[in-house]
Amino acid sequence: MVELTKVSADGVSDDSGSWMWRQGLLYASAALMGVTLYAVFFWVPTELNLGVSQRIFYFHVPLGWLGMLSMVIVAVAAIAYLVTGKEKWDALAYSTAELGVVFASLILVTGVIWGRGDLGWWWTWDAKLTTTLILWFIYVSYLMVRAYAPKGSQGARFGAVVALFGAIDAPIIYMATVWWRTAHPELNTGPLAEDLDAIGSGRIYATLLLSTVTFTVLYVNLLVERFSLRRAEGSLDEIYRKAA
Amino acid sequence: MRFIVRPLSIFGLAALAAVVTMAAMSILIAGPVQGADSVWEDLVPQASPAPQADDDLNGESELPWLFAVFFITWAAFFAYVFVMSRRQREMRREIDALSRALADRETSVPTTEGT
Repeated sequence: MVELTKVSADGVSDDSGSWMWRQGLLYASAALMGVTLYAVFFWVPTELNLGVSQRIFYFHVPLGWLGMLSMVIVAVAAIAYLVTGKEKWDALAYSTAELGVVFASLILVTGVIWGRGDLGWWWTWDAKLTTTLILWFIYVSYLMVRAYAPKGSQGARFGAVVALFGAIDAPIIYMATVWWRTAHPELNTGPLAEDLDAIGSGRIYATLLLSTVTFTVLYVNLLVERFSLRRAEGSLDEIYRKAA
Repeated sequence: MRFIVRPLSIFGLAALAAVVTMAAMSILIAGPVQGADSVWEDLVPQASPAPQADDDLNGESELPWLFAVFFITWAAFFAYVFVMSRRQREMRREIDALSRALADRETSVPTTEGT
């Protein structure tokens, strides 16, 4: 009851610091997205061999980075929950997994469309694409386990096991082009990229970095909102449990 | 309950997604991608004269793929924010119902005790 009194009729809390911070994040997302749109469509030169469709790169790569990062966060948060038993870690794991499904789906869809546009095929069972598809299935499995397992710590434990498989898969996706011959282009970003010149002009690299930062800020924005909602859902469940 | 989402944040995200989608659609429909300056300037090797046809150079045939990616990406974000805002609305309804139930109980308890 005490908790309910902190909530006004429209479900708004009085935490103005958090509110300001989140609004700032939203405005930063909007501003960065505007600059990125300008860079992608007006500023960056068109790549010679791939043409206009190469601009898909500025969406596909950041989505890929965030899709893989999500799974690592899910696994770390799930382990933190198992160790500490604090609900906030479970809320973080669940929220990140949900967002991860969105990003993993977009990696696959943007990749498939790019492949069709440039290479002429929708899908091929090469290592990079297959391990990414596996990542998507792991995200879906995690959410299904959480949905159908008993509520509370047992469901979170089952989910943590699934998340660990995902955390193993994420680096395999990154290394796939190094370990196997694949139809996917080789690494040109990240710590293991051998030749940064292969990415093209400085403008292409700058736009990619800008796009990555922009999507990361948007991702953090979405995650903060989903995390807040998840914690509120948890608190409401707790109130129902106590009332019952 | 400190973490309940303010509705404006969700609506702000939805508005951002909508605005970016519309901006992208107008940009792509108008076709200013070709207007990007410095096309080729950094990428064409000095020795090779790039023998493609004009359509290929301009990338006209590939524009629908770029449009599809952009549209799907933002549609997905928009859909996700929409789902989040619906969940939030449902939760607000539940909180209202709980508040009413608690208020009813508080007003009924002294009456019962008095009798």
